[in-house]
Amino acid sequence: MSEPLLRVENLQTRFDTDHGTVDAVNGVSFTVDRGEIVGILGESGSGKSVTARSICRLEDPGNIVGGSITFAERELTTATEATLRRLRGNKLSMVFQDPTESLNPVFSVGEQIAESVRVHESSETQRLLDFLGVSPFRDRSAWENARERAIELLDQVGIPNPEANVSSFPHEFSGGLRQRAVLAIALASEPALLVADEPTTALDTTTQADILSRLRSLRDEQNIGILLISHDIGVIAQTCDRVVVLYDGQVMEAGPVERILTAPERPYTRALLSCSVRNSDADKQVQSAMARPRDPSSSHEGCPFADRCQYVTETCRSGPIPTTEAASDHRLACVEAPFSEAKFVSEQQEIPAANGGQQNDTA
Amino acid sequence: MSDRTADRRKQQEATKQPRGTDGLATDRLGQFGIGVVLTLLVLAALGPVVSPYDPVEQDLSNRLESPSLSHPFGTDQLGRDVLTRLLHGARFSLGIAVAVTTVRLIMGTAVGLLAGYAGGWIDETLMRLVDTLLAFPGIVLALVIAGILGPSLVNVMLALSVVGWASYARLVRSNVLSLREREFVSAARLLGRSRTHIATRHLLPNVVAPVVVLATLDIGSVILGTAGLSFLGLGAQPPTPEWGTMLASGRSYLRQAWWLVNAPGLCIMLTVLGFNLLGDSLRDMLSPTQTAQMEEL
Amino acid sequence: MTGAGLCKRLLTMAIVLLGVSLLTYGLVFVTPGDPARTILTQQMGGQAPSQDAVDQFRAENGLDDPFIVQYARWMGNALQGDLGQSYYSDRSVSDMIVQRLPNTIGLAVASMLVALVIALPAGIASASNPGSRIDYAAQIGSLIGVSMPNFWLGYLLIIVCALRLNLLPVAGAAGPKYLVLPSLTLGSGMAAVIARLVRTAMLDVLDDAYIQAARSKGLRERILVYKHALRNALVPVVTIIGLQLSYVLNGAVVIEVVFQRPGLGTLLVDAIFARDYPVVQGVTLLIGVIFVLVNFAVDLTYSRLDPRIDLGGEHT
Repeated sequence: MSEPLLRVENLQTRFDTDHGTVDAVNGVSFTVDRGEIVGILGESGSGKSVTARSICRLEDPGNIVGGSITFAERELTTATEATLRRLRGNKLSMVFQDPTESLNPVFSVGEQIAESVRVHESSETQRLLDFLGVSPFRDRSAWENARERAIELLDQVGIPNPEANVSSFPHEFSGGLRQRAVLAIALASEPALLVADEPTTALDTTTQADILSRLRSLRDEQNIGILLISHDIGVIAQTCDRVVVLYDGQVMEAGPVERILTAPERPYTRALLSCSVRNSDADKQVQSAMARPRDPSSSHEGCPFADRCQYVTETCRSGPIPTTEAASDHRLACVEAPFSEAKFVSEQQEIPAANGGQQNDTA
Repeated sequence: MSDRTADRRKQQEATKQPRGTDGLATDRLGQFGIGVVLTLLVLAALGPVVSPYDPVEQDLSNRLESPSLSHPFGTDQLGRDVLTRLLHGARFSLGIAVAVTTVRLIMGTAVGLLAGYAGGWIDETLMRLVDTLLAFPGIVLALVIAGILGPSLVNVMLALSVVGWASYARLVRSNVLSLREREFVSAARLLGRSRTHIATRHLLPNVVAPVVVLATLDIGSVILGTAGLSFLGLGAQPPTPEWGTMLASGRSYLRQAWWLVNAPGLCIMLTVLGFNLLGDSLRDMLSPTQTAQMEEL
Repeated sequence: MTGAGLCKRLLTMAIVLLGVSLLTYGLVFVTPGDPARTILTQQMGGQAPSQDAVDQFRAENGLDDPFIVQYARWMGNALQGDLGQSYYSDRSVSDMIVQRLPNTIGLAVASMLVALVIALPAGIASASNPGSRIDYAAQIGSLIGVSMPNFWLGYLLIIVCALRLNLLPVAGAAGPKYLVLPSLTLGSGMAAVIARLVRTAMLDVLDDAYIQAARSKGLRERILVYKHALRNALVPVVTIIGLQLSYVLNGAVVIEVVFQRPGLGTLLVDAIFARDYPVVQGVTLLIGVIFVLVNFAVDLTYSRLDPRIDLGGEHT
């Protein structure tokens, strides 16, 4: 089997805060291949965003303290700034959650896309004065071409009237258009891997569906590998091929979407699912259903989910949690694994003792 | 809470990144500021008593002597000990600074309370006045006022007070506006307290802290202003040992007696620095909202 | 820019000018001393004029009119560029101002350049490496700069550069050489304030998500800092530069005295000591006008720096 496009192995990213260190990502492993959409599913604070940023090496102010990230046969954890810059300009793009905040308010959308095109063409020789547009140093024809390309990209991501909109400023766009523009910036560098951190959370449902289907066609047409981070099981279910379930910075369960989302073997995934089935807003409900998430700065002996798990045993709290392979492509980390389907079914009624907590935590 | 906010907060906690001067271990700088201010107070109080020389009396046999053991900062063109004059000058500078700042504070607080509490056209008119004053170059205005009134220390103090109260008024007003809506004020109103009662008993105590911080920061600029106007010849008149005046009369002796301008210059700088550092560290003790209001100034 | 916004701004400007002119004119009006007597004494070469002559002069020049009438007349003339006649010279106030103005403008512009040349790199370097030695050095430098009386700095520079090293002339305004020390003095004081502000603004902006997003495009740090961050940080910086104008004008008065440069500042100070009130009023009014105009220019710059700002309204 050939080396996958992206291989993350035992990744550990840590934040040093005034209240001690926080292991936001604590030993995460997974792979993404070309032409594959892999989802990372988790609640707030599960470390999924930090994982995404770590892969793009934008983890600052956190620090990667262990593990490895291999992308296009390069080790990223030890890569130099120059290498990273080259990769970001050519093979690796990221889309952030909030399109309003990820576009620079003072430059036109077209310029921001054109910049990305220029970086892609010549990531080695980015001259400051050229990019600042100081007239004798500005490479007119190159910028002209980049602008043409920007118009194409705007069209490609579904922005109407691209010729006129290329000169618009971000504040003149709606949220949906902004996220399309952000996607256009990401695609300008013709990436092999697109890391999308909650790309549709800030959008309405129609726009969300459209963006997600665009991601799928990108995968189909350009054979791009996509890592899609979301808290929304629905988003993951309709978009991804495989899913990695994250909790407290650790992989709970990973495998093909249809398998994990129909027959989860990990109590945590199970709980997550049962909330989402009954309620539309998974993020909110999961939290209220399962009470307070674990304090991430406390120590991590044993299973992070132990305090909230109804199947908890003594072994869960004491030692390291073994990772078992339920099938060749289905991993899960649980002491009790493999869980018998029968055990779940018999106790399913009791799982969501949820509705009392609805008023809390809607912030 | 969205994932992003959680992450963002995590980030912010991780990088309690210093803003403004607090990057420089504010505590230590603040302590330095307090040290300077206290030293100055002690020197101003005791110095003139301890010094064997007279600040005004001329001693023409000892003109323009370089710094030495008997005259650490040398003597001036009339043979007076510069250090002794500086120590007396500290009394002037501190006295004037405190007096002017107090007048500014009282005027500004009164206007701010009135504007914020009365609202309507009174507020509108007063704030226009405040904007005008804040906008106009203060020293130029003070110069014109003091100049027309005639050169004297009192007129300089008057002029500096008149041009400098506006920032207090704006600070107090914005505090009052935000406090007015708070529960304890509504409660007092419900209890049928009079407007005056509410303004003096409930609003005033709450605006005191930020106003005191502003005043501390303001002392430095009052000292600079006084020295500047005195330097131009409008404030204290020779032979008064005022720092600005001393510096001005030293300018004819730049070549022969460098210490005549540098000694008072250094004193002014250290004093202003001390009060600025003290004010900065006091400001850091305020609540975030209060700090934000101060930064609007 | 919307028409309503423009009107509002012009109105505010007018009010500021009205306030300043009323204050200066009013102060002179209530000051003891009879301008008629002063002028006549001057005209007669120091002899005291007769009461009849004084009365006649007052009547001819409308000096017996009520304050408001006199003020309106003065303002009306001022709007046409006529600021009256100096008490002590046969020249018009406008003439004297026009002659001195270039020197002051030169000083202001040169100081502003000095300030920006020092403050922008210092502030940017500080913010891009918070906590570094450069950062500390820049911060300590600006603390000292803020606390230092500019006239003392002027003399320090004179002692070192002019008297000891003999590099530059001490006083006067005979050429560009004469501009170096004054603009260094005034400019470095301003630089202290501006550098502090640039640092804070840049720190704020560098923390913004779009910087991280731009970094993920593979842009070089230098382009991130000087293009993406600086452009956003410039909005608050331009405000301060506008406000710094009052620092320039305050400072110009003192610095012109220190370096004995003939300019608006020295004109004002001399007029004050000579009690040449028409000159005092004229210069003050002019400073008010300059001030208001520059602030207006600053507002205009905003909308170019930040496309979200419409002069008429607020941030969207």
